Amino acid sequence: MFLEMIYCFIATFFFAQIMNAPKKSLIYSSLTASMGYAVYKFCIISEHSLLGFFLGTCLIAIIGEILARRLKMPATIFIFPSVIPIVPGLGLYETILAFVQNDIQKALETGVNTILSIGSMAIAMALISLIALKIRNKKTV
Amino acid sequence: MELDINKLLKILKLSAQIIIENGGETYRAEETIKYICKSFKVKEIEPIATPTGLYFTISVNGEENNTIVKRIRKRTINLQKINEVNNTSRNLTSGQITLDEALLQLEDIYGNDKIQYKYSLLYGGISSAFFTLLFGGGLFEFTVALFSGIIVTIISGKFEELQSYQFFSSIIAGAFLSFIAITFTHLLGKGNYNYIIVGGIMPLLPGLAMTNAIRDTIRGDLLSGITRATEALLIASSLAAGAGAIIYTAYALGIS
Repeated sequence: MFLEMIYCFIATFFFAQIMNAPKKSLIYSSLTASMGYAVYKFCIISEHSLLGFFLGTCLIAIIGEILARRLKMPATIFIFPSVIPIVPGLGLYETILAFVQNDIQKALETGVNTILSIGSMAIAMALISLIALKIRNKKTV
Repeated sequence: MELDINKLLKILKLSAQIIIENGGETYRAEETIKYICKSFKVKEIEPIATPTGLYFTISVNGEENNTIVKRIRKRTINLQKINEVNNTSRNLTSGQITLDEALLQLEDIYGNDKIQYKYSLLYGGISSAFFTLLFGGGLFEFTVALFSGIIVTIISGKFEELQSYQFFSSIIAGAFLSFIAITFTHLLGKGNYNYIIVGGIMPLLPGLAMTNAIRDTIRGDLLSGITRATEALLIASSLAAGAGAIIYTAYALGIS
């Protein structure tokens, strides 16, 4: 698990550089990514995979919004690279694989699962950005 | 001091255009226009930004209207540029730089396309290699993923130069990725190509488009939300189609 967090850190570090993220943000977003991944993995191990997608994304979005205020950079710069390791690429791939193997039953099963996972990530992201917006509005008013 | 409306319009157009072209949220573009206008005491501001174009009308004294329409054609991802525009508009609204300086800075940001090509190839390879490890690949899968990641980065870079449609480059990238993975594992007779393909697909997935789609939709920008969601769906399904076609061929040939 610790090893996976290191892999996640390095993968995000270089992935953020492909997207030309500012040098200052690289370390922060990679650390955020491995923390989010740890939460996600923990939930997966305890067999609550949807909760894992939700909580992992929540954590990343919260840290991202805080970092955005602290470093005066848009929140997307932190959230976008960090969330990538959690995106269910494996689920997407397994869905295609099942379709190719003509196993429609399995394809639908993994497909629905993947859509649900993306949905729970979406809800987490939306929730946090809504709360962040409300807090900011209260401060300026 | 008399406000130079033409310069202001140019600044507004350029800053919003850079934000949208480089993967920023549309509300960020709209808000940037609003903030800059407010700091110059513009009376009426009405911006509309979508991923495919932006329109805004400003009226400095409340009588004459100035409208600009800008079609957005290319959409890439460059977080550095978004950050720089953010800084420039922040400095402009707080009065630290003048309109002229801001315009110069924005033109600098817009024209600055220095991509560290050599390094970005390496970055693409390394990140897909480590994603492969993350999904349970071993040393052999790591090496092949490094190689295929570099190839895929070269291919998508070439497509970007040609300014072709994004779904086309995604199909080709997905196909090449699975082709390399299956060929290597078959020829060398070891390893699992599934890990390599998943690791390689990860950096290509439309994460930013998806994220932005959700954020835009939540804020009520339904038009840009739907546009982004369509984009994300298109990229994901063309990646899947490219990879799926090659895997299907491999199955048909009885390789795997």
